[in-house]
Parts: sequence; C-alpha cells; structure tokens
Amino acid sequence: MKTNERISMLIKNEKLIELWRHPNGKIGIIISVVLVLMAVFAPLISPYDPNYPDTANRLAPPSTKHLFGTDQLGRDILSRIIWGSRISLSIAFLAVFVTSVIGLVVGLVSGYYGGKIDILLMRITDIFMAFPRLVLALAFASALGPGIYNVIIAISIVYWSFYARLIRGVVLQIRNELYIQAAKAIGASDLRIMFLHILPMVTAPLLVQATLDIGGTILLASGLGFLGIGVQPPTPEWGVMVSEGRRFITHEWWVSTFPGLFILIATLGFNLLGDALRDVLDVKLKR
Amino acid sequence: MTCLEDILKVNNLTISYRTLRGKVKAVENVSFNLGKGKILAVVGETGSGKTTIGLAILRILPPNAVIEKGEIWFNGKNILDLDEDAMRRIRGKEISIIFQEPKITLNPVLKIGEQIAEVPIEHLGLDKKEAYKLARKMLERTGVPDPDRVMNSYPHELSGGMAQRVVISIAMILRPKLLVADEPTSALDVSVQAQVLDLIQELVRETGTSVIFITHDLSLAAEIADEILVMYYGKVVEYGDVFEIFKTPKHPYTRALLNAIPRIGFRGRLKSLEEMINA
Amino acid sequence: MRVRKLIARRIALMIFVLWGIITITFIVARVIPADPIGSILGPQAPPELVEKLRKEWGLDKPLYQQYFDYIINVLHGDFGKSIKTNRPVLEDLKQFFPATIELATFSLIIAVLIGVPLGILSALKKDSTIDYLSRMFALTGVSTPVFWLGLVLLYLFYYKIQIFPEPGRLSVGVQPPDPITGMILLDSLLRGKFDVFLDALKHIILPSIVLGFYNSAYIMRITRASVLEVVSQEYVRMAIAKGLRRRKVILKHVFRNAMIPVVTVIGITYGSLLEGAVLTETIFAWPGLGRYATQAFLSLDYNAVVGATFLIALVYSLVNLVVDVLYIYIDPRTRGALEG
Repeated sequence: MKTNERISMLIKNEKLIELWRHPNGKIGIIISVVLVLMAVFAPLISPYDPNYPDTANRLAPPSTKHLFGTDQLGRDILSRIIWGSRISLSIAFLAVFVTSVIGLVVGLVSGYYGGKIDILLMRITDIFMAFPRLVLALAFASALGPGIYNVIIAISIVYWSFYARLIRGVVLQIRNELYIQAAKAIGASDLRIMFLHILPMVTAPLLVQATLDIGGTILLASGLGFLGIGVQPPTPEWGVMVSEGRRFITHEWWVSTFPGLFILIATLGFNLLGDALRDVLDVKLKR
Repeated sequence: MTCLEDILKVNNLTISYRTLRGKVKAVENVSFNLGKGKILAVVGETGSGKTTIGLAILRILPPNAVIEKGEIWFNGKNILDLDEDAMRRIRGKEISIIFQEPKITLNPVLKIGEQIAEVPIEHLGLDKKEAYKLARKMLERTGVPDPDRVMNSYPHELSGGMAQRVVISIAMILRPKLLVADEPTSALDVSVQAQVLDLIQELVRETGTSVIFITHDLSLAAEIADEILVMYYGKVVEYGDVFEIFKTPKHPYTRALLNAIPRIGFRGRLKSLEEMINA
Repeated sequence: MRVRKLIARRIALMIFVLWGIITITFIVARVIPADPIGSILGPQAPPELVEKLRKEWGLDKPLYQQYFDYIINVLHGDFGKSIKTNRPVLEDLKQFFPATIELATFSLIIAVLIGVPLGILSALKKDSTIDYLSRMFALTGVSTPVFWLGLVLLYLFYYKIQIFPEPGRLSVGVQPPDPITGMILLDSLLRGKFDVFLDALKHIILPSIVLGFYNSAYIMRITRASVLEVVSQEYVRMAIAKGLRRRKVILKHVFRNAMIPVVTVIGITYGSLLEGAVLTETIFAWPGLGRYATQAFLSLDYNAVVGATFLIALVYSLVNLVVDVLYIYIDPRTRGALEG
C-alpha cells in the first residue's frame, strides 16, 4: 500500500509539473486559482458590502476609492464582482459535477451493455442535443422559476447528454480490449469491471471536458443572467450586472464593462486550463 | 562492388533526428552501391535506421531529420544537393516508394483510378483519358481482378492485398529506375505475401528497375535479394552478396539473425546475442 | 443504393427527434409550471377569467389528453395565441423568423470566411507568429460573452467612433422592400432597391461580426486541428512521394480530407448562432425570433415560448440534417463496403 501511495503521489506531481510548464497551463492555473480564492475569501477581500447603496456616489467613475466605479445604486462594482465570482463559480462547479455524474452513469451503462438500452439512451441524447444549449436552458430555467438552484438544474439538463456521449465513446473504445475480455473470463462482475477497469480510463477525458465546460457554463449562466432569467437582481451575478449597466453604457461604461470582462477572464482561464490538461493528459494516454 | 552500371551510390550517409531529448543518430556512416536491375535488401530490426535510408533516398524525411553528412549519387548527381523542384520531378518518375500499410497510403476520399492516374498526369502531361487508360492497364498488369470496378472504388473497399497492388501500380506505372520497397508485405496475410512478392519480382525484371527492399525478415531477404545490407543501431554491420553472407557471416549480429531463423527439426535452445559473441 | 438507405435512416432519426422536441416543449410549457395561468395573470385575477382561460387552453383535461391535443396542434402549426401580441403565435413566428435567419446566415458566412482561412494558414505555418496570434485570437474568441462584446462594440463603433449606424435593421425612415423572403438583404436585391440594400448591409455588419466572433474562433480551431491531423497522415507523404506539386498536394489531398470535419462543425455552429441571436438581438434591437423568444420567456407567455423554442429547435435540426446528408456524400468511408 505504501509504495502504491508513493507512486500515485509521484505521478500526480509529474502531471502538475507538466501542466505548469505548459504555457497555457500556467496562465490557466493562475487565473482559476485566483478566481477560486476570490470566491472563497470574498468576505475578506471585498472592499465594500456588495449591496450597500452609497447614494451619494451613484454612477461614480473608477477612482482610487472605487476601483471599478459604482453602479446606479451607488454599489461598489469591484465588491459586487468579487461576490459575483462566488455565484458564477458555484453554479459552474455544481452544474459540471452533476452533469458529470449523470453523464458518467448513462455513458457507462449505454456503452457497456449496448443493445436496446444503448439505442434508447442515445436517441434520448439526440433529442436533448437538438436544442441549441442556451435555448434549452432558457426554456427550463424560465419554467422552473428564478433561483440559483433552478439555474443549476437547467444547465445540467442541457449538458448531461454531451457527457453521456463522451463517456460512451470511451467505453466503446476500450470495451473490446483484451484486458476487459480477460476480466470477464475470470468471472468478474459487470460492476467490478466498470469501476476497476473502465472508470480509470474515463477519468482523463472526463476531467478535460469538465474543465472546459466550467468555462462554457460560466458563459451560459451569465447569458441567462443577462436575459433576466434564473438569478435575479440584486444578486451580483456577472451577467445580471452587465444587463443592469446596459442603459448607462453611453456615459457610464464601467458598469457593464468590468463584469463582462471578468466573465471573459474566468472563461478564458478555465479554457486555457482545460486545453493544457488535454495536451498533458492526452500524451499520457497515447503512451 | 562499384561498377559503372551502378544506379545508386550512397557514401557515408549520416542522419539524425531532433527530439525533445536531443539529437538521436538514426543512420551513421552508411555506404553502399546498387547495380542496375539488382535487388538490395536492407535488413534490420525496428529502429535500425533502415526506413530512414529509404526516406532519405526520396528526400521525404520528416521535418525534424537532419542530414549531417554524406552523398547520395543518382543519375550522376548528388540528389542531396538538388533543389526541391528538381527532386520533385524525380519522385514518382525515376525513384518510387512503396510503404508497409497500403490502406493508409491511399487517400480515403479519392477513387483509386484518380490516385494512379495523377502520376502520369503530373510527370508526362497526359490528359485524363490517356492517363486513366494507362492506369487501368497497369492495374491489370498487377493482377487485379475486375480492374474497371477497382478503378472506381475507394481504398476502404479493397482488401489489403488489392490495395498493395494498387500502390505497386502507382509506384511502377512510369517504370522508375529505382524502387524503394519498405516492408511491402509485412502487413499482409501470409497467403497474399507470396503473391505480392512474386508480382514485385516479375515487374522489376520486366522494367529493369533496381530495388532497395527494406525488411526485418532475413529469410525473405535471402529469397529475393542479390545483395544484403544488415543494419544494427544505425550502422552497417554486414554488406555483400547474399550467398556469401549466408555462408560466412562476419558480424555476430548477422550470425545471431541467421540463428534465429526457425528451422524444421531444430531441437534445443536459441542462443542470445551475448552468448553468440562470447562463443 | 447505399447512400439512399443512409439518408432514409437519417431522416427517420429527424422525425423521432422532432417528436422529442415537441415532447420537451410540452414538458416545459405544461408539466413543469405549477400554475401557468396564475403566474401570467397574477393572484389578483378574477376567477372567472382564470376558468375561461383554463378551458380555452384545455388545462382542465387530463395530462395525456393535453399531450395528444398538443401534438396535433403543433403539427398544424397551431401554438395558440400570444398573450403579449394577442395574435396567433404562428403569425408572430412568421414575422420574426426571417430576420433571425438573415442575421444567423450572414454571421455564418463571416465566421467561415474568417475562421477557415485563418485555421488553414495557422496549421500550415505551425508555430510561427501568425499561428501564435491566431491561436490567441481563437482562445479569446471562444471565451468572450457575446452579449458583452455586442455592448462594447456598439459603444465603441456606434457611439464613440461613428462607423456603424444605430441598432436595428434599417435606418429610420427607410422603407423595407415588399417582402418576398422576409430577408431585407435578399428582397431589396430582388426588387432592385439598391439603396435599401446598402442601408440594410450597413446595419447588419456589426451584429454579424459580434455573432460571428465566437464562431469564427471555434471554426478556426477545428480547421487548424483538422489540417494538422491530415498533414501528418501517410497518404499525404505518399502524395509527395509521387512527385506531385505542392499546391496540388495541398489542394487535392490535404483540403479534401481536412474540410470534412469542418463541414460537420458548421452544423453545430448554426446552433450556436441561433443562441447568440437570442442574446444579441436584444442589444441591436433586431426584430427577430431571439428577441421574441426572450420576451416570451420573461413574461411567461407560454404559447409563444413553445412556438419559439420549437421553431428554433426545428431549424437547428434541419441544418444538422442537411450537414449530415452532405457528410454522407463527401466522406466515402460512411458508405461501407461495396455491395456484391
């Protein structure tokens, strides 16, 4: 056991080092870590209360007092952005987690057992994938009602089919490999094969896709917020903030610009990380 | 073994590859000559550099290859000095190559006829109709049943043996002076291997083409070659007439290879290379 | 012929998917909302009105009955009336649909014109400065929120530097031509009204750039990856070994293969454009399906929600159907072994 632990620690370190050396990986790691820290330590970092309306300083331009200026109610935009990271990131992480689990189960069952179950499940994914993602999320989010959890559910409904397909693809690839046949021949149960042999092979592409989708989810969630569906004002969700600042774009450009900029940076960070992960893990897979 | 009738002369060829771990020598100080109409087998295991020699002769080495030194004399010129356009005109016309796996050597989205015909179209300036006629004739010559149908097919519709015949047609259609065959039968079924081998031998005898036959199989080399070049880790360890080598191999590696050839009725242990050297 | 069988199967799938789309819109409109009428009219609504609407909408019937009625209605194009416009939803859809198609298609053209050449150039000149810059552009492109980009560009290029005209399809006072297709660009050309055409063109450029931005980045990445993959294939090496000219090798052997995945991606891209339209039409005051759908979602105008969602999904499915059928034609490997 001890040697196994040591070895797994070594491998993990090796991957992280490669990830760090990757030019995109470095930036990606930095951005994502900073954002996560921002979200976690929001109460400590935030210069002001995000909901405090400083009515004397409404729509104030960026200054030393308010780094990103204030909005139409006098709230400090930087503080709202910092607190907003909590919302965006928690939506993203939770949604991706839920979809991964659902997609994993469906993909494993579909790919491993094949036959009628496979056909049925894949036809169902076809239906869900026939909608453009935002439209489907909008439909479910508006039907379910406002609230952050409904947003997460709506996004999960949109994304699960992609994961199911992805995992099914991997399962199909390795299902016919010799070691699976061998395991079956010794009489290993299906569940055992799925967990012990197939699951490890699935982790790498799953991780890559999940990281990339964190970026995609941030975009999707902010899109919903912008349209006013799901998360509602006064919650400082970045998309909602962009929407609120729309009427002032001509003279008080900072109200919309900075939140949107952070959506970009956050998505970029996770996309870079996902890209780098793909490069690093793919090489290992090929070897 | 230098004579005036030599088609190809390779002198001191040294090639390395640039890798993440630095420069790796693939081929070191390789020299040999190839007579007109002769077949030279280049024998060695994977990584011995035999394929690199083949690619170098056509100058289609991968971009990370570095030709450190050496000359390749063909048609009175050192082809390593030629500019790209001049080299291009030699490829497919004077020097051709056949690779190991025929199905991936053919373009999956183009019909067979087109892939054969484009060679005479490019080099001889034939129009489509004439080129296709020539292609069909060549295909027939290689023993393909129902050549019209094959001309109209796509690579994935053919068997391995048929696909390799197509590749041979492409390589031989302009009756090149030199053919490089890189393990042309290794990926084929055993039953088909013999047929393809016979086909190659027939064709080159007809056209007087010299052949560099790259293989890992020493017994195959013995069957088909006039001379043999044995490669070990990029260096030439044995070079000479096929019969001489089999009678009196000079290098322990060659001896080990010869010993490794399965013989019917052999009892006992196969000796490893170290044991042979120490013997 | 083998091809016909494949196409038939694909169309059968499409029909199944259409049924699925109808079912999901039904779930969204009728199954999930606890009280669709109450949420629209509000708690103050007089009970007789609620009852009247309830009967009108068939909400008093059991769920499975509602479902069958619903399917039949949708197949007839009857989505009911929109609460907001008080017209049949079908009329609304007919009015707003062409504007979105025009915008999405124009954006697609821009995205392909930018993405494909950039991707090819990037791949052929791998690791050069052009490659590096293109990849930076692509990464940023797929990370940019389209609604924010629209706002920023509108501010910069309409308000600050007045290159582009005001949001909307045409300038104030310019009359659209009598509709043939509903797409102003086409109609003005067909009717010979070139001044209208120019005006419409000026108005569509900025929203198309915004919409197309994400997609040109995405297409560029796929194209680059595809070209790189093809270039490393054995048959490309063989083409060079045949002594073919470089241009011929690239055009015939590399492109023909590299473009195959790109064609598939264009199908997906159209879906992305439809989504983006939902977000950008609001900013650019574009009277299209996206804006209609958004307002329907916000006001819980369920009939409109169903109609708009269904139509968008239908268009997306059709585009993918076309792409899939096209794929059967361009990639011979899909057709399997020869018969006989």
